[in-house]
Formats: sequence, structure tokens, C-alpha cells
Amino acid sequence: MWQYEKKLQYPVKIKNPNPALARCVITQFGGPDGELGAANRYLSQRYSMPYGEVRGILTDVGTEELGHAEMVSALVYQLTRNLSMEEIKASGFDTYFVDHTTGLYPIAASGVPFDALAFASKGDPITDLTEDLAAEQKARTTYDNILKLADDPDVRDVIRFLRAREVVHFQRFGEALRSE
Amino acid sequence: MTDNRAKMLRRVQAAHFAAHEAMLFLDTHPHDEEALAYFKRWRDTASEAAAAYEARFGPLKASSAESCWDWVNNPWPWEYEANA
Repeated sequence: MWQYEKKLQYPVKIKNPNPALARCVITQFGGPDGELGAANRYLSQRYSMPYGEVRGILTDVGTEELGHAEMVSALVYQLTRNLSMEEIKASGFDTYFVDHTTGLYPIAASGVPFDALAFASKGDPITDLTEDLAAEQKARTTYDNILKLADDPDVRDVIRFLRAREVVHFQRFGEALRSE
Repeated sequence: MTDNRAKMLRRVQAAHFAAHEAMLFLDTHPHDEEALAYFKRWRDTASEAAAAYEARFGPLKASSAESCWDWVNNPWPWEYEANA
């Protein structure tokens, strides 16, 4: 089971709302390589994983990814606070606003709703860990792309932290694959 | 949030992060004694920092509640005010 801690893993404090950027960042919540899929991928793969060490890393990385889903959600929430209707229309955020107002709903940047295919749980230790290595790189690439699109230093600071975590998780999953 | 509150929360986050990072390393290196010592040092620092924060600014876990149910008080972690 899980117990909530009333803090983010790393601070999110965005001074300037930016709904157009929120539409990009949200992809790391509900997109194909986002944190929601990552958390549930690792936490679902645990059950059929035969090795204690790999069950451990899947549990602990999966739990951290839940915290990352919270951080990305906090980014989107703060980027879309106190908006006027003019800002919503001018930024292109109107197509999200009409369905979800400023509620957090897991979608990709393209607007495609979260797809459980992202869980990618196959029940084979080699297959699952190889999937996880690729998944961490795909998430890292997405964060790199967000860094190419985002100028706001408050946003970039958080995205850099999340990007670095993908690199560490890739390292740990690589060790898990070798130790099997 | 006062400067002091933000500073005390940073201390919890930093120590907790160091312990978490060591935890992931230990999952794939369970016999590394140096990593275990590092983990224990930061785990203890994190719990001391969390207790100091909670004594002044309210619970980080619902189970830490004492004299009143201030668990539900704002700000919550996703708010700007909780992080600034």
C-alpha cells in the first residue's frame, strides 16, 4: 500500500502562467511516455517479476514516478492559473478548456487521451526490463523536446530535474537486467 | 509561505531525495555497505528535518496529526504558495 507525503519531490513554483506551454508539458502526465504510464507500467510489471531485487527497483521507481505525475500536474496547474478568457482564446488553450476547464486530465500534447497501452506489461522479465530501458529514454527525449520549446526558467528548472531522473532510472534498470 | 517555512521544507526534500537515490542504488546493489551507511545517514537526517518542519508547520503525513486535524490545511503541495 502507499502513504501520501504532503510535499513534492522537488519544488514547482511557476511565477508566470503560460497556457500554451501547459499544453506541451501535459504530455508528460498523460502522453505515451508520460509519468502516469511510467508509474503504472513498473507497478504492474512487479507481480510476475521473479527476482526480489527487480521487484524492489520496479516498486521504488514506480512509486517515484507517481511523485513525478504529481510534479507534472503541479506544473500544468500553475501554468493555467488566473487566466482571462482572452488569454485562453489567444493561447490555443480553448480546445482543452472547453472539455476540462482547468482540471487535470491525462492527455498527450496532441490531445489524444491517455492510453493504457503505455503500461506495456508483458510478463517476461527480459521483455519488461528492455521495455523499461526504452521507456526511460523516450521520456528523456520528451523532456529534451520540452526544453527546446520552453523559455521560462521556472519551468526549465523542474523539467531538468525530471530529465535527470530518467537517466538514473535507465541506469538502475540496466543493472537489474544484468543481475537477473 | 514564510522564508523559514520554505527553507525547512527544502531541507526535508533534499535529505529525503538523497535517501531515495541511495534506496534505488541499494535495490540493485543490496550488499554495498557504503551505500547502506549513506542511506541510513540521509534517512535519519530526513526524519529529523521532517519532525522539525511538522512541529512548526503541520503534518507531512496524515499519521503525524496531534492536537487538531491540520492535515487538511492549505497550502497543498501543487500550489505555488507551498513551494515559494
